[in-house]
Amino acid sequence: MNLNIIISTGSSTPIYKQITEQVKLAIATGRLTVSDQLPSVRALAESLVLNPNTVARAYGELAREGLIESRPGRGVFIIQKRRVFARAEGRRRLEPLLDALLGEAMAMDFTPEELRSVWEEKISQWKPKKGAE
Amino acid sequence: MKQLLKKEWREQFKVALIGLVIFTIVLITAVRTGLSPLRTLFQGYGNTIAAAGLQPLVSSSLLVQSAFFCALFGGLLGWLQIQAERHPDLRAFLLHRPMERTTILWSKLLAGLGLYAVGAGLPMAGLVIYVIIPGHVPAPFEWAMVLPLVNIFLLGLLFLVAGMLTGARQARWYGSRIFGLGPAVLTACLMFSVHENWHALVSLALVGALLMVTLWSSFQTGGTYSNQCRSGKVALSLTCVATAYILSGLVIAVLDSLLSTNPPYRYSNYQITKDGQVYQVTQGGGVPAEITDLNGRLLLDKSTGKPVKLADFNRRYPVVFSTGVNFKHSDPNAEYYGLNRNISYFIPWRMSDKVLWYWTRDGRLVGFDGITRLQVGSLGPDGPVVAGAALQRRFDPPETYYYNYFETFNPPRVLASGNTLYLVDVDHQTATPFFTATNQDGIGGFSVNNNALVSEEVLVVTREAIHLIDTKGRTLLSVPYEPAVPAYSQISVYELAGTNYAVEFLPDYQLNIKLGGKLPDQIAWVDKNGGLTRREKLPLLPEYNSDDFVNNCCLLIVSPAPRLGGELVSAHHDHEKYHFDKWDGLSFIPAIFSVLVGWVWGRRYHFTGREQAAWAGFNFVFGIPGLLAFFCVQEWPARETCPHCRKQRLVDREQCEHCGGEFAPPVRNGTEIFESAGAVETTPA
Amino acid sequence: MSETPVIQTRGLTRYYGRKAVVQDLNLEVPRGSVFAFLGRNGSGKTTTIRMLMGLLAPTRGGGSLLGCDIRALTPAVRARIGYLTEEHQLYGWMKVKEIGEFQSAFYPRWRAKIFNGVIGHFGLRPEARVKELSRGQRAGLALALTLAPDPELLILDDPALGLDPVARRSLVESMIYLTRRSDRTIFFSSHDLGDVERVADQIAVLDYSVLRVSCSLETFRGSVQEVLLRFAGVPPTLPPVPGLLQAFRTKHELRVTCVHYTPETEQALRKLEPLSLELSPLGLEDAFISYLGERGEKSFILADTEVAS
Repeated sequence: MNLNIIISTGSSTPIYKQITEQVKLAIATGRLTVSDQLPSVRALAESLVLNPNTVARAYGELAREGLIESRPGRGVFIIQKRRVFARAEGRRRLEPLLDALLGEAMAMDFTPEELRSVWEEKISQWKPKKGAE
Repeated sequence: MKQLLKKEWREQFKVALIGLVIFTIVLITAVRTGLSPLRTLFQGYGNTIAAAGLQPLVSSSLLVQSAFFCALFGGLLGWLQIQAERHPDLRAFLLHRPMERTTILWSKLLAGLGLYAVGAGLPMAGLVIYVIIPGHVPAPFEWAMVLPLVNIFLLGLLFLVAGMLTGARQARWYGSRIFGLGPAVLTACLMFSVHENWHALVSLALVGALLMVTLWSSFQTGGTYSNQCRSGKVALSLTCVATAYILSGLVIAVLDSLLSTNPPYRYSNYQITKDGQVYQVTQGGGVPAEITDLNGRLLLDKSTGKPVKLADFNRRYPVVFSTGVNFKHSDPNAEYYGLNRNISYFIPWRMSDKVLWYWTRDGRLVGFDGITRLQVGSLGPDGPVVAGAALQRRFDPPETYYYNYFETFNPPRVLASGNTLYLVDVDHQTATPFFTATNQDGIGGFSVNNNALVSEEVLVVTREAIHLIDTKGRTLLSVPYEPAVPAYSQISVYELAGTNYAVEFLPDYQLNIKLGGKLPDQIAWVDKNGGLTRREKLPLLPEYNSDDFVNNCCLLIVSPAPRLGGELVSAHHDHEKYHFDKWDGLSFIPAIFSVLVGWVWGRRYHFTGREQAAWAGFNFVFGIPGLLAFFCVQEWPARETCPHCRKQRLVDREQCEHCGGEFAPPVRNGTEIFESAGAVETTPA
Repeated sequence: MSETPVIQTRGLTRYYGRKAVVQDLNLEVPRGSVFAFLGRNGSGKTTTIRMLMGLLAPTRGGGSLLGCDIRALTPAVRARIGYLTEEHQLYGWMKVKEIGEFQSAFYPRWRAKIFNGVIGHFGLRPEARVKELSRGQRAGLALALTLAPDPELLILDDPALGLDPVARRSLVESMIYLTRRSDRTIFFSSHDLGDVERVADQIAVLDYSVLRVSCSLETFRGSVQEVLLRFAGVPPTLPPVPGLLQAFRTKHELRVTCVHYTPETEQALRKLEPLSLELSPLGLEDAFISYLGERGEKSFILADTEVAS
C-alpha cells in the first residue's frame, strides 16, 4: 500500500483534516484505488503517533463522504465512490478552492493560458476511476 | 513494608557504620583514660589513684561522652532518613503508593532503630562484654550498672525521633524546625539529674511517646498543622513549648549574667591554730585571703610586720579529726545525683600493696589486684566472704571525704558496722572490733587521720558523747555531745600543743541556710586532763548576698504551673513545707498576659469556642513560652474582603464568618471557553 | 451516559501567604480522555496536581480522584493511579533492576512485561545506576515504574520537561499505547503544544490561578480566530471588542485575535472601515500563545523608526 501520510503540528489545518486531505489526494492521483485497504484506526494512530480519536474522526469524515468503508472483521477499504453530493453541492464545495487557486495565480502574474496548461498537466495525471460515469 | 525496610537500611548503612567506628573509638579512648591511673601504680609513684574511671560503666566522663554521641548520632540519623526524600518529587514518589502513610513511617522508624542499634548499640554491647570478662576492669561489677548505658541508648532513640521530626516539619521559617529537639534536650538534662534509674526510664518513655505522636501526626499531614488530629496538635504544641522553655532558659541565663550586680563571692570560716587561737579566714573573689583574729585585727607576721599569707598560715594548723554526724545511716551522699550514681554501687576505700579495695553496696569489701585486674578478696565484718554467700553483718558505708580516691596512707583502717567499729586489715583479710556503743548510743560518725604520728587514733561521735580513742580501745578524750544533732552535725577535734584539745561544733549546712545563718560555730576547750574548761560561741560569719532581684525578675518568664510544680517537688524532696511567696504571685501576671494575647489573636482569626478555651488553658499553664509556641504552631491564613458584607474574612473558610456568604468566583473577562464534558468518542478497533 | 468523572474538583483553592496560586478550580476530567492541562509557568499547574495527589493540603475546596476524596486517598485508590513528576526524581543509588523490584513489591497488579518493555524502549540497562542515567533515560525509567502497575488513571506533571526529541517521542508513544484501553484516562500538563495537539482530546487552560478554558481541543482551536484588517493609511485605534485577546498593529494592518467570533464582533470591526477583512484560522500553538499572551495592543519591541539607526 502506497500511503505515506505526513502530519505537521502547529499548522492552521487541524490534524484530522490533514489526514483526510492526504487520503483524498492519494485517491485522486491514483496512489490509492478501490479495494485498497487502509490501516486500522489504531494502527495508523500508533504509526503517526496520534490520538486514535483523531484518526477515527478523519476516517469518519471520509466515510461520510463515501470514500471509504469499514467492513467488520476485515478492515477499512477504499470503495467505489458513491455520489453522495449532488452535482450542485459538489460545485459549491469546489468554488472556494478554485477561487483560491485563481487568486494565487493572479498574484503570481500567471496568464490564463499559463494557468490552463498547468491545469491540463495536472488533469492528465488524474486517473479516472474504473466505472466512473 | 519489607522493601521499604531494605531500602532505608541500604540508604543509611554507611552512616551507621561510620557511627559504629566513631563510637568505638570514643569508648576505647574513654576506657583507656579511665584506666590510665593504673599505670602510676605499676610505676610505683603517687599515693593514690583516681577511681572515677576504673569502672567504665559508671564513669561519669564516659557516660557524658556516650550521651553526647548517642544524641548527636541518633538525631543525625533520624534527620538524614527524612532528608533522603527532601526533594518534593522524591517525597511524592515515596508517599504515592498503595500503603498507609503510617506504615511508611513505621518502616523508617524500624530501619532507623536497626541502624542506630548497629552504630550505638554494638559498641555499648562490646563495652559491657569487655567489663564482664575478668581481668579487664579492676572494680566491682553488678548488672544494675548497665542501666545508665541503657538509659543513654534510649536517649539516643529519642533523638532519632526528634531528628526525624526536625526534618519532617514544614515550617514557615527554618528556625522553627528545631522545635523537634526541645523535649529530647530536656529529657537529656533530666536524665542527668534524677535520683533513680527508673525515674529516667519513665521520663524517657513519656517523652518518647509524645515525640512519636508528634512525628506521626506531622508525617500524616506533610507538616501542616490545621489538618492534624487533635492528639497530634496537642503533642506538637507540647513539643514546641518544651523548646520554647529551653530558649527562655537561655534568655534568662543571659539576662541574669548581664544585669545582675553580684558582688564577688567571698566566704569565711574559722580556723584554730596549734597554740589554741581562733582566727577568721576570708577568701575568694580573686583577692588574696585575709586572716583576722576575733577582734578584727589582721594577723601580722612577727618578723616582717606584713599580713600572713594563707600558705604560711596553713603551717600553723594542728592535727585535726573531722566527721559529719548522721544517725540515720542512709546513703551518705543522698544529695549527689548524676547519671553514674556510682556512689550507690560502690565506694573506693583503700589501696594496699597494689590491691584496690572497694566497699560495695551489699556491705563488704572487695579487692582487685591493680596489675592483674582480677578480684583477689572479699571481706565482711565477720571475716572473708565466700562468693555468693549472704552476709550476716554488713559494713556501713565508709565516711571518706574524697569519694573518688583510694586512701593509701598508713592509718588504721577503720569501718563501722552498726554500733561497732572494726579495725580492718585487708592484707590478712581480718576485721577486729575495738569499740562498741550501746544500742541507745549508736555511732553517728567516725574519722581517722592520715598523719603517721596519730595514725592509731580515731574520732567517734555517739549520741551521748564525742570520743577520741585509739585502736586498742583506750580513750584519750571524751566530752558530751552538746549541742547535738540535728543542729550541729559537723564535729572536729583539734590536737593542740600541750595535749590540750579543742572540739569544734559546726552547724548543719542545710539547716543553717533555712534558719537564715543564725546558728554560730561553737568550740569546747579541753585541757590536758580531759576536763572541759569552757565553751565558746563564735561570732556569726558574714553571709554572701547574691543579687536575687534580677534573678527573680528573669524567672517570671516561668509561668505559675511549672513554677509551683517545681517548688512543690523540691519542697517534698527536702522534707519541708512549701511557702507561697510574692514572686510566685507575680508570676501569674505573665500567665494572664499570655492568655489575653492568645485570646485576642484567636478572636481575630475566628477560633471556635473550643479552640479558644484550649489555647487559653495552654497559655495559662505555660505562660510566655506557651505563647511563643502558640504563634509557631498555629497557621495564620490570609484574609480578604468579603464581596457581600465588605468585612475581612479568612480565606480558608467556605462561608464568611460574618455574613455566611460564599466566596465570589474569580472575575470573568469574557474570554472563557467552557464546554461540558460529553461522552468521549470510542475508537473503533 | 453520564459517568462520574475520574477527576473532579469543587472550588479547589490554594493560597501561599496572601497570594492565591489556584483559585476556585472546578475541573472535570471524563473517563477515557487524554486531558491536557495547560498554562504558563507559575500558573498553578503543579500546585493543582500536588493537591489532587493528596500531597498538598488545599486552603479551601476539595475534589475527588476515581470517586475518592483527595484529602483521604486510600491505598486501594492509590494503587489504581499512576503519578509521574516533573523532575523524575528517583533514588540515585539504586540500580534500574533494583528499583523495579522495589516498586513491584507494592503493586499486586504489576506487569513486568510493561516495565521491561518501556525500559527497553528507552534503551536502559538493568545494571545501570539511576544516578548515571541521563535525564531522558531517567524519565523513561520513571515512566516504566508508573505504567507497570497498569493504572486506570495516569497523572503526569510536565513529563517532557527537559527531554530530547527522541525521548519526548518515546514518551508520547507510551501515552498513546495506554489509550488502547478505553477506560484508561491520562491527565497531563505540558508546554509542548505539538505533543498536545497529537495526543490530547480535551484541554483545560489555567490562566494565572484561574481556570478559563475547559473543552475539547477542536472547540478551543475553533474558538480562537485571527482577523486581518487592512487599511489605506494608519490603522485607527481599536474600540473595545468582546472577547479580544490581542491586537497587533503594523503600518497598514491590524491583526486582531479574539475568542468567539460572532456577527457582533464582525460588526464592531467593520465599523473601523477597513479595506479588507480576512479571517485566518490559527494553529493550536498560535491560538494558545494568543490566548495566554499579554492582552491588548502590542507591536514589536522597538518601533520601526528606531530599528534603522
